[in-house]
Amino acid sequence: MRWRLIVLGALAVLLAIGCVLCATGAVDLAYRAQQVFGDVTQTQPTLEQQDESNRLYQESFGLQLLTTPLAVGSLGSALAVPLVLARRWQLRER
Amino acid sequence: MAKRPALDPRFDPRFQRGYDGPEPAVPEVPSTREPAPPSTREPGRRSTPEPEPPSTPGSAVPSTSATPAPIEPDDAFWEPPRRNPFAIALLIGSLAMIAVGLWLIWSVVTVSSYPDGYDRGAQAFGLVQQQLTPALLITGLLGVIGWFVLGALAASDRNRS
Repeated sequence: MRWRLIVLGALAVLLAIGCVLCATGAVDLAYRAQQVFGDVTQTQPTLEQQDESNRLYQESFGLQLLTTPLAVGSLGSALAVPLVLARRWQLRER
Repeated sequence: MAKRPALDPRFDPRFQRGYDGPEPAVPEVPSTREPAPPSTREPGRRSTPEPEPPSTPGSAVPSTSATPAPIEPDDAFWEPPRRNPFAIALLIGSLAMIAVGLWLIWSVVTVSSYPDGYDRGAQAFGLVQQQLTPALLITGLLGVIGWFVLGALAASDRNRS
């Protein structure tokens, strides 16, 4: 029983780390994609730059989509630990 | 002495004629309405003894009132149910997640300007608003549901036992 609790806690931490990494990567990619159009008032970005920006935006969006399930998994695992402990408490107190 | 009837093995020997063992711990008048376990579940029913009222007329309120009497201190087997600290932690964590999710929604709704694309902090906060708000709300609601399920399981355990 105890090793399952340890797995749950480790899963919560690992998924939280993955969520933070995905969010950081998504923000970084979106920022780099935005940088392409940083000086749009002076020079128009070339077609290759626009393609690069679109690619960065798409990658950023993909990482954003990963963020939500990772967050749900992390928060759910974190809540499962007190849930399991509460059930064990119930069975012990019965 | 030779006329003592044999004990019937089908029934409890304490309640048969001819039993000379220790005195059974039951009332003088046998009562079928009062099984042994309810002494721990219904302390108020046994807390209305007959000999008490004449000696303490000032404290006659709890014995005659309709409300359940307080727990008797001499009942050593009964103790109030202990609160489950993990269930409380589960409920508090779930409610905190729901509260943070609602605050994020409120911050999205009441924002006055669209976040600047060149501000990393604003971008990160926008990402948190968009992606973590549903996660927080979903998990918080599941936690509250789990708390209710936990209470239902405890109630079914009590009924079963």
